[in-house]
Amino acid sequence: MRKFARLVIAALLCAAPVMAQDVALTSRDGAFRIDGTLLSYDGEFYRVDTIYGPLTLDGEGVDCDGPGCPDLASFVAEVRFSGTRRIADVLLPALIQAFAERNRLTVLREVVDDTHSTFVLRDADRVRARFTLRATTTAEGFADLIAEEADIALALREPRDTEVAMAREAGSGDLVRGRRARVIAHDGMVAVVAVDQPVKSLSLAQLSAIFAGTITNWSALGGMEAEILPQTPLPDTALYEVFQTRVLTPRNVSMSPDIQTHANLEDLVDAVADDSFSIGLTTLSEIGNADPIRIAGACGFEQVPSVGALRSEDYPLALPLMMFTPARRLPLYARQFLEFTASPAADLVIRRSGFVDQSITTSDFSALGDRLAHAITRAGPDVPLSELQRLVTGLRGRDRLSTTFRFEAGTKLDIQSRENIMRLARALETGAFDGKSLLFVGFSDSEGPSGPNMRLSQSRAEKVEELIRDTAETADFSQIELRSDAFGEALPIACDDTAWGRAVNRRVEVWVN
Amino acid sequence: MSKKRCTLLGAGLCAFATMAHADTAALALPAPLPATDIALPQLPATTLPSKQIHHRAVPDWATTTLAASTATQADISAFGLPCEVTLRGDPMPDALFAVTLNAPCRPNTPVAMHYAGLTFDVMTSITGQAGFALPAMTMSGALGAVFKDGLRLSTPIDAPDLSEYARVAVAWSQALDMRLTANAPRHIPVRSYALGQADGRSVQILSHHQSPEARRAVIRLGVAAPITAQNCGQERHATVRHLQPDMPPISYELRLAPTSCDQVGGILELKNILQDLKLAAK
Repeated sequence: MRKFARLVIAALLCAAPVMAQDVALTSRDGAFRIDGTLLSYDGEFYRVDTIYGPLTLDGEGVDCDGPGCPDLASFVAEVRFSGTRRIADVLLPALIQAFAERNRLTVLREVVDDTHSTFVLRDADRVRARFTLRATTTAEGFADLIAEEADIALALREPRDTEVAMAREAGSGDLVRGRRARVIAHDGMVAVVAVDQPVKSLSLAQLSAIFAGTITNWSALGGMEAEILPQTPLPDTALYEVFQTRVLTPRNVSMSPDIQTHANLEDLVDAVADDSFSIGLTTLSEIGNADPIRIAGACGFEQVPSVGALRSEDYPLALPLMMFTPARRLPLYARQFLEFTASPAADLVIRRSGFVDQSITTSDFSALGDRLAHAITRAGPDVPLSELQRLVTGLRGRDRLSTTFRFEAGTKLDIQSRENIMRLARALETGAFDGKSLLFVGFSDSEGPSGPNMRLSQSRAEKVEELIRDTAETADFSQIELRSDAFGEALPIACDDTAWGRAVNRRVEVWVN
Repeated sequence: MSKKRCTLLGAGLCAFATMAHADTAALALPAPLPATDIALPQLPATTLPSKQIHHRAVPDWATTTLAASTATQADISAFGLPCEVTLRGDPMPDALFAVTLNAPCRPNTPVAMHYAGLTFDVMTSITGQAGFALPAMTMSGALGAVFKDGLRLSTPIDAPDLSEYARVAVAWSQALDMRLTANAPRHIPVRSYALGQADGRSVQILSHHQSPEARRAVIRLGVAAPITAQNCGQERHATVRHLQPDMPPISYELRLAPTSCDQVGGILELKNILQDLKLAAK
């Protein structure tokens, strides 16, 4: 029965309605035999519906007999992607192409129409994998994943509670627990105007008023006497939803019903670029020939939608591009592809496709510029000048890593920061920071008294340091110094007058020398 | 110059001629034929009736074509030119190359041209020549010409100034009327080039010269074709190559599913399959 121990047997919650066929799986030493109906074969593992329920068996350990057995020599991995066009249109095709080239496979893209394609990956002998792509919306991607019509959902937002519940009901497990989600790149939500529109900076309150329909003339924003023509993507897109939840709902308003909508973001942006009085909602990766608007805060900070600000999540309307995987095991090619999307080779593809990759970059102390000036002007009883001097002494001579950790509440990291832990830990394991010192610096927002804020920021920094130590299992910590420090509300990135501003300020930065 | 004669002289020459007229912002390929004549060698008005010339005087065994007989006898073409086959590419402004294929003893012969992973067919003229303007698609590469009988020629195409150009090329594997379309802002001039001939494999190239003071811009790319009784139900195969300043070139292969013949009269339009050209500010 030693062979038996090698078999991975996992009762799965849900049996996919695949054509029923009879198989008998016998262990190589003949010690046991399982009869059942083959549900699927992924090139490595059999999924069989048996009297014990659905079982997954390692193909290495068993021989298959019966009419339902797959032809092992001609197995083609089928991987179905479905979801947001922000990932499906440009990024995913580029990633598939690069993945194939890296694995010495050629790719032929079979185009059915603008939203359906299949990428056929072959080596010198035969077809090895078929990646099918449906370019639609985040919501449809989740629906396809839950209905087992997709193996990987492409998403611009985390699943809604209703989607999480639906997945649980359908037996596809918990969408928000475990490593079901991975962030592959970053994008940002931006408002765009035509190049010749003089208004180029707006507060979130003003943006919200424009799209809610309460500000209707550019003159109210310091511009010309002309009607504002707002344009948005369709209401069922994640972009529309995210704008609603992050910008409109906190102000108790909703999208004006008279707004012009577009099925394609490209069409929306082209329409805005051609009309001086339009303003449109789009992403930083798709601003076409229009100009992005800077986000102004009441305290004087302006957030510029830029690659650097998105990389460190300092821009308030960041949109992580995510892939959600099912609770079941994916074929080897799918797993290899997912692994590839987190590699430095993929980072390059992501950058070239116009998105923000997650590679770790640095900026030096002098880049603090405005932020430091702002902090000094605000110095007072909560943040005395001596505290700022301590900050300057501690950070001068170090560089800030783009990797920044943010918190949903208390010391609970957000989804992207959990990904950042893995990234930074992996970099530590590869020796990228050997001989260096990493300082985890905690900050808080300015809500409440400064004492507790200081303690909270200290515990956040310590939490991140601890997570890094635990995750980077193979890193040589005799070569790397890890320390934590905290400065409470001393150095805000954004104004604390809004929820998003406070969220941006609750962070742990990493400074290296 | 009539359209017919243009075909006779090799589509390549026509492509050369149309190039100058293709400087438009919004465009549709293939580019129209030139409105005016261009300077070409003066040729007999009709195809040489070589068989008829010999018919009366010579016996049956000698009724081969004039071109073939002179060629075998003395390595001299029907026009008295040596049979030596040459291919050359001479640099021109705008990262273009004037390609001249000279095969005097291979008149009216199809030749497959291979360049940067793109393939298109040209036809030699009655005098065995083919000429066209080739937009460079790689800094350093070679243009190959392959005749049906296996004869191969090659010439280097080195374009050091290519780094200032954004170009996209689509090579269609069969003669179908698919068009590469571009939508660019007014200040972004896009030139178009058509290579190959109507009934063979063809290549369409769009080119934009990015000036040093250029600002960020996006050129939208798409493909479109009218669905006709001739092309419905047929698969289309294409090779796409993108070149952009400061970026490594990208190539990919596409196979477009056949359109239904119920849709004849409609238009097949794909807007999201080709990556848009995104030009960074200089």
